[in-house]
Amino acid sequence: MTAIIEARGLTKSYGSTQVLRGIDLNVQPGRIVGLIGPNGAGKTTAIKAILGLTSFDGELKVLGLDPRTERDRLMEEVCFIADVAVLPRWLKVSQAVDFVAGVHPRFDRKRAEEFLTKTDIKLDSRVRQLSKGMVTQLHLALILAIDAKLLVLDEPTLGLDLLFRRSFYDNLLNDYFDKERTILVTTHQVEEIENILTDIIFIQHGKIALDTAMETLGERFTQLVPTAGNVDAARALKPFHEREVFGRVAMLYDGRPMAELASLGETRTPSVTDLFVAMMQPAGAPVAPSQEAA
Amino acid sequence: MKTTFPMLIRREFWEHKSLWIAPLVWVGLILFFSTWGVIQLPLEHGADALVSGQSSDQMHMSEQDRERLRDAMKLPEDRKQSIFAFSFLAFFGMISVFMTIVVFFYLIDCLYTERKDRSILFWKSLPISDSNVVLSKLAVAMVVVPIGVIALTAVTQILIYIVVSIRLHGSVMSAVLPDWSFIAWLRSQAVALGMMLGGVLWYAPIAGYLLLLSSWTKNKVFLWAILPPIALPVLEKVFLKSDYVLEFLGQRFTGYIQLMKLDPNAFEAGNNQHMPAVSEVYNAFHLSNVFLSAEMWIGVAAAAAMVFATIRIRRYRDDT
Repeated sequence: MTAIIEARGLTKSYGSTQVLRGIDLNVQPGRIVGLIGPNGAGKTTAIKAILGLTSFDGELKVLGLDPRTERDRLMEEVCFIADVAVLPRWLKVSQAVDFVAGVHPRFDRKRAEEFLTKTDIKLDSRVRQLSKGMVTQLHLALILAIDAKLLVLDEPTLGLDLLFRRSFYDNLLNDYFDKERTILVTTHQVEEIENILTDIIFIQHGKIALDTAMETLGERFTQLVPTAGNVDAARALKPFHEREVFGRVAMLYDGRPMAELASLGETRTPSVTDLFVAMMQPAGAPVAPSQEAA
Repeated sequence: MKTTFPMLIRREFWEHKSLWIAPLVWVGLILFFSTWGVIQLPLEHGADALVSGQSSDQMHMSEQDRERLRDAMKLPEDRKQSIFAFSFLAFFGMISVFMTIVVFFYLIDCLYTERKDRSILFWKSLPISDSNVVLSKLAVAMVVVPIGVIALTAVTQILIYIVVSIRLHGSVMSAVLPDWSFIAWLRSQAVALGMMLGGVLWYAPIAGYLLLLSSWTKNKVFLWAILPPIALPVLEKVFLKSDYVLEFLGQRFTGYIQLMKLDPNAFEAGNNQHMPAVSEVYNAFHLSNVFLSAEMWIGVAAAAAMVFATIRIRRYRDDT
């Protein structure tokens, strides 16, 4: 099957700062890919490159098109939500629907209106009168009604409360996602979306730190909390990260079978959040137990 | 392919409400004050007396004005039509100048606000090419608004004609009023269209400059628009003791009127019993001089280059 996004050696500099240092990507159709990384890691730049919003070096094909030269055609099949702040404040809800209906060949007006009737959004309201959560709902209503192959979300729920965040992803899964479609999402709130992702990509200092499907995550990574006498033995197996949790040590292994580790203590597959924290920390740096993904 | 252009034009009028509210208010004011002026005409005291000058203490009218009025009533029809032409040109001028100011603010704002509020990321998430977006904004300023000005002028002229006709009805002064002539009206529309087309093309480089600024400046777009044309001539004068920039700018701002070589005779109404024929008035605008001038077409080429640069900037600039 042809890849939805295929990148090789993507690089990008702003002046003397290199924000992307050779990114390779291969995103297949029907996946939900989380692009996860700390601030300044290059997430947004990578997404801008994919959407043809910024210049870059390297090879990149999105839906078989070059975002640099074929952006207008590309945007017929790609949807994009940057964050809640980008809908213009003067725009009326009805105008937003009219406009997208007027310019987008794949927009299903009825679908957008049906979605909107399920919300508290009134058609004659202006964006400036809506709450942040309602603006996101409006944007989502527009996007869900577009029959696109790729949906790109860059921090779509930033600054929203938990209820809106939850319903945002629920709507996305129930009303939008299917085997034909692909979603690429960046977020800070890893723990909230890790159970909907099919793939995760960690990005740090402009490089891919990890690119794996969720199905293979468990085969590759194991977290071990060794029993008191086994700590040294566990360390000998070279965990790539360890941290203290309630007086006990949790160690993370890459490529050690869980069966091998099971004799030393409690094992489980680490959460994406655990992995993120472990991999984004400089090696050997102490980690406070309560620290979460930033 | 879907035709997105009409929707892009509509969008501009949603965002920039001043484009349609301001002219309506302005025309409303013009109509109000013109009507008020017409109502104030002191006809109640007997128009005959007014004309003959028998009750001069009641009519605040000098003997000279009375003389003119009597002359005006005796004018042949083609000269009376000039009164119609003058009022038409006056309305056309008032509405055009006003809308030039509105369009100035529109142009500096249209590609600036979308970057400032980051809504450009929403517009760019839709399949609309940057050239269509930029051209839609240019079309609003250089096609839609000008057509609106001509239409509003026509409506204003017709309404005022009706008001005056009603007011003068049954008075001897109605003799001043030219007959309604469809041909004369068409002529006025043709002149307005020609002058508008010439003006739009002549001032196109200024529109291009404003559009370019709108897509380029990081902040203070208004200052960028007005400061260089003021500061550059001053700096040149101070440091180089010359006036080339001033001459260049002056030529661009006033060249349109100069090139038309307006015949001053055609506008000397009422002086020495002179009233030009309507054809003299309309022929006074030598538009062919403008359209045949290299200056105008160089300006159009410069405008095209700036619009092209604007499209490139909107396509490739990444400052969100």
